[in-house]
Amino acid sequence: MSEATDQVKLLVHHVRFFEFQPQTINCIACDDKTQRIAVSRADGSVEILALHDNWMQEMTICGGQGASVESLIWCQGRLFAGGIGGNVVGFDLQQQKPKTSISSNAGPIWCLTKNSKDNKIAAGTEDGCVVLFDVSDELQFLRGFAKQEGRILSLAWYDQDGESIIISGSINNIRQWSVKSGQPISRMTLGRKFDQDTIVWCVTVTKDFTIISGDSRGIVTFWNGKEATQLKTFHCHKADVLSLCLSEDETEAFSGSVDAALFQFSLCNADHVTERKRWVHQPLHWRHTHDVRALAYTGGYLVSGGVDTNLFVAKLKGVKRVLNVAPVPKHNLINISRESNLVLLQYSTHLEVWRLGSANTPFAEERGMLPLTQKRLKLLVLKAREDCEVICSSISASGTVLGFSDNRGIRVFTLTIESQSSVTPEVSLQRMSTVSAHTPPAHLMAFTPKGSHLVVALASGTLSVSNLTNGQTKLLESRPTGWKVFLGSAKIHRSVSYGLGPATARLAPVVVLILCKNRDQTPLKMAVRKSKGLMLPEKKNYGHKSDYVAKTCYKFKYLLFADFTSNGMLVAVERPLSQMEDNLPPSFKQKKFGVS
Amino acid sequence: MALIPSLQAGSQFGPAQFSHDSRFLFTCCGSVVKVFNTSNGECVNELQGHTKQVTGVMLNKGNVLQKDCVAAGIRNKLSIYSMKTGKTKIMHDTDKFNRTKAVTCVACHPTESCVAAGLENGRILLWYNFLTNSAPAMSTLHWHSLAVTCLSFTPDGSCMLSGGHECVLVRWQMGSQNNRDFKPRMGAPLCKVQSSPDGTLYAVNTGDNVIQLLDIGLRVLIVYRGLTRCSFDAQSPIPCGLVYDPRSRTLVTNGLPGHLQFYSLALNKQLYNLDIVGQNYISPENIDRPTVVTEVTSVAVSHDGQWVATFEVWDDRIFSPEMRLKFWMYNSEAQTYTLNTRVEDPHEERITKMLFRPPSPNKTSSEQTPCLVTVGQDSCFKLWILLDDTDIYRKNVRWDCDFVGFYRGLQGFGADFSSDGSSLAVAFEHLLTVWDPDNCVVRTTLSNGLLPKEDIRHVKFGSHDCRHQLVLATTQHLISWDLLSLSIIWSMEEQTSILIKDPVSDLMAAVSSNNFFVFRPSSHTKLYKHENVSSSEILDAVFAPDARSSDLLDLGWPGNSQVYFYNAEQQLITLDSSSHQQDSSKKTKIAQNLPQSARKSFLAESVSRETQQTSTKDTMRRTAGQETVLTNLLQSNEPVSLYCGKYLNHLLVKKKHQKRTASHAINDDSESEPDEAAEEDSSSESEEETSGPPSKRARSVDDNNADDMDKLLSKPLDWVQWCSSLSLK
Repeated sequence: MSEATDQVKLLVHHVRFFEFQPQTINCIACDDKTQRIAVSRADGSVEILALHDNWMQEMTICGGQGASVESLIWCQGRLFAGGIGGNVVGFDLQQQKPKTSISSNAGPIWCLTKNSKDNKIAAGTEDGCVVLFDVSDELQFLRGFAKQEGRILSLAWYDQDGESIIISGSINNIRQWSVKSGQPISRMTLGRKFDQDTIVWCVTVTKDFTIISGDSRGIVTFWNGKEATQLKTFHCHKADVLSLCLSEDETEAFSGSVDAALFQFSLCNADHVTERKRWVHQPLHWRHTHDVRALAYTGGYLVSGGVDTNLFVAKLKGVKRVLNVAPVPKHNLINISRESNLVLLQYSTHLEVWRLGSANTPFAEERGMLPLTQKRLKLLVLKAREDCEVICSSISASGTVLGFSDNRGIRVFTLTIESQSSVTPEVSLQRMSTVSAHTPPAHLMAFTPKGSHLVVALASGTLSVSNLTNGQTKLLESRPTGWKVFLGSAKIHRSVSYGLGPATARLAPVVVLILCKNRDQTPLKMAVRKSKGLMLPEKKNYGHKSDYVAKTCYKFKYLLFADFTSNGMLVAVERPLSQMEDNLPPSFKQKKFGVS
Repeated sequence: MALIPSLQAGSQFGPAQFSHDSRFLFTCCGSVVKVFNTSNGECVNELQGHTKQVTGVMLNKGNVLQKDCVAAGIRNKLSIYSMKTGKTKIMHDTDKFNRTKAVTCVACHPTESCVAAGLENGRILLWYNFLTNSAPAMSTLHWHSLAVTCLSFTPDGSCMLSGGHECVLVRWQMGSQNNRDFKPRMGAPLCKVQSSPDGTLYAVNTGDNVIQLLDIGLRVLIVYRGLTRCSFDAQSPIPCGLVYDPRSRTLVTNGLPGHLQFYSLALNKQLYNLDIVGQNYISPENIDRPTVVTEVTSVAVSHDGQWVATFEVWDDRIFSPEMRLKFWMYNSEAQTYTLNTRVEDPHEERITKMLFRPPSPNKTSSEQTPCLVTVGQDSCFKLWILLDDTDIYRKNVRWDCDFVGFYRGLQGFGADFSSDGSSLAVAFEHLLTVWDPDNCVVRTTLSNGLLPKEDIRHVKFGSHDCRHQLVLATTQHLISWDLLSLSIIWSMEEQTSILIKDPVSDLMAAVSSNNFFVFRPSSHTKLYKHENVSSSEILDAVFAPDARSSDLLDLGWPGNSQVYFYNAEQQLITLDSSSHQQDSSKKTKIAQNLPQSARKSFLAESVSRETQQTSTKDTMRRTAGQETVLTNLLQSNEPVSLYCGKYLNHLLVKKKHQKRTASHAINDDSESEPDEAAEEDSSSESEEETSGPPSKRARSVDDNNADDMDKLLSKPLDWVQWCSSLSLK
């Protein structure tokens, strides 16, 4: 079969009923040493991405119901978060769960900052109090500063030459606090627009004590910190400036705003005769569609995120380009049972089992949409335990066993469907007693092809194999770092969503079998089904490429999942961007010239 | 005597340049450099010497401003050449240049290292940090929706001026770029903008050949107008042709879109603009698809200049066209035209020819009924007459249609009244009909049987001695008919594109393919012939009665009229004798009108005032003397003590001084006086010529006084003592 004339004919289940909704990004923090970024979303979950792995999503820490993360900060490789709950939470990144939690004693926390030695963090609270915590060993409450009127929405810590000053952005003013005394030293007042309060959403400080603030008027102001005077104002944004960040060498500053624009401020020579410097602003990109809530700079990349749930990574050095890290989780939200035409959809607090529709086998020349002989059907909704979120789920190939893991542990059920092909099949679900009710939560799980064993990657980094018939459990491997386990098997062509580049929605999960050797992600073995229209990522060497025939199909956009059933049909799950955007709040309206 | 074509007007103003003290504006205009005064808008001098087009003016700035770098935009790249290091840096970041948008203009910041580049898509990019090795920073300013055509920084670098096709001048504050000021409705797209060295004045060149001078409050102070160029339709810039207005002695033609301009030939400047359609010009959204404007396509001026008829069309070829005939009456009190009658859709199609009936010599002016004939493309002509429209509220007149004439359903083309207004000739394709305009009957029909089926393009009655003769221009021939015998006098083969007649003599002239010739209807001999009058196609020509060429009367041609041509390059060309051309050049008046400082100006003015005292006849130009002395003094920065004495002296010892200079002054003035009296109502040019000698003398006196002053300044200044010493003298 020659490649040029080869037209692959494939029956595709085009699934568009998975109502996946990504969550708004609240804040981003970066760890310069390990070049990891932590992203918190509106549902309180925290994702960790690694720059050196091409922005791969390394883990997701579920927040649980009602959790909120308003601010994140890395300290000595540890991650701390503050939120509406009023607690500073330290995370255990091994176990992927919150470890310690200490109350601020001053209401909800809006912002966090740290000193230059990385041993203290300060939190700004609703009550107008700056609270210090010691993180040199364990997270410990240190003390609170004098209370001020109005909430503190942003903090920055100036810690140079023995001087230790915390700058807090509040309503209508910016204050400087002496860390030694806990008292305010000076106050910088902002103007008001239309007699409305000016909220200082973000503040940052350079080593030469230039304070940069962004406020609700859309103005970015540069201040001389020593004299508490304005240096320069930029009225470049049309709405509230929500986030600011500085580059490493502090010659560049960046701002993000409700008007979805990102601006870059560069410190330039005013003329080439004197040493006089001045800040110059320039637009960076307009890729966001909604408010830009958070910005972070690491290693020449500017990471921005906001209400539109996408994470954009702008490369600032060398060839400039902007990367979109789609808000699609690394692990599968979708599982199919290969033999029984079932699909398992994982939502944040429940699971759904659907029977896919079916059609008559088309004629040889038939193209396009086939008329359905049987419509799709929702068979089952399985809720997680109260206050719990579903972490992972799986269904066996025969469709008789399904399991999921939430924050408390793993649960496995047997699924029996009577009169499978009828319009109203009878569905019954029974908890499998052979799996212990007290197993720890898992990150990934999969059934062996015959459904006899369950393979689970535990939070502790252990791989356990449970025999479902007799309940015997075998621990396969244990690794201290344990956060890269990929499941798969050579026989069953089990698809694994593997972190090949950013999990962009456009890039389909690859239908290849990959077994990872260790952290460097060298594939040990893989198989590709030949001449079946598979999608192979480029730029990765998979050994002898000539062995495989790869075809790329651009018909699907925003593909979340693709896999083959045992009878050779492709199940493609698509989530159109427009539908995801429909659920977002409206973006900031801007008048465009020539557009009514 | 040889006549050579010379450019009368229509040269485009080049970019304006201010003098160091911002008091004068230099601009190239054709082959001369014009010097304008920025305080009163007068053209004070024309610097001649070039024989071809002057392309640019640049003052030798010497050490006033040392430029550090030169920037040039080439397509989508910006190259910056550093004068100090000799390096060239080329910016071609395609991403930041908005995907290969061409750079249309560049400007360098006067004090800081910043270069501004205007782009095709209306953005202005400001580049910083380009001389260092790190990545240059660029910020964008965006207000213009169409291409930016001009950019300029003010000398102190605090503001930037930009302009484009939107006819709006934008001033950007460099510190806070959201603060910008606008000067909208500049009339035409902006071509060039320049700030004066002291930063108090902005000169803006607009596409209609105008330089506007604005102050820092963006108020228009002075407008220097040349012959307005119609930059909006390059194919037919003057659809209504050239018409001579005898009352104001001006040429009437199209100006700005929807306007008529009245261009004075004697003063060689535009007298005024008459807004016909009353619609503001709106720049298009896309420069390749210009908006359709209402155009004035036909104009007629009555013989006493009392009435002007205009015909305007708006036709976008999608909707049905809008056509309007308007009658304007001259209001001698307001010194302007006021709209009298407005007729919607006067014809079903466009009007091709329109003219007023000349007054009959047999009737008194009160018996005359003004009458207009319009010939349309709907194969009929209409006669419009003035009716009494007086009601209980006011006394009024209005125009109305009196008669609709047509002939065998043929298409009408040209029309002309005989010189006494008793006959009207209308051409219908190949036939010519002669009508009685009073009774509206066909008198006779003429058909040139020899030359069948050639459409008649132009019809002209002869005048004076040839008033019974009629000249027809068909597509291929020029034919002269005798209306008494109804026979052809002569005919010749000539593809005539323009046929005109002299209002003050029996001469006629025609233009065929850039060749111009003069003839009489009575004979087919060409009195004068000139080939290749203009380098480009001649669009229209007109005779203008002018006393300037009276010395050429004996030739028979040129007579009392000067002929003017308008070519496709939008230039007004006249035929002139070479000697006359030399004479007509303006005399230098630099000494009088180009004072270098307040001190000089005061001294010069005081002397010219003294000479005025001696002359019995004051010309209008000189009366402003005393005021200007005072205003000059008040505005100058030099200490008042320097002038106090001189000024007092000037008031005190007037009579004595007069006597002192009398012997010198009276001679000159007595010579110039009779000349001025004689040519009082002639062109102002002769007046200026005579003013040459006194100004020379004024300069010498001025120099003496300056020496006096210098001597005084070397001593400790006690001005009272000095005054008394002077008065003792």
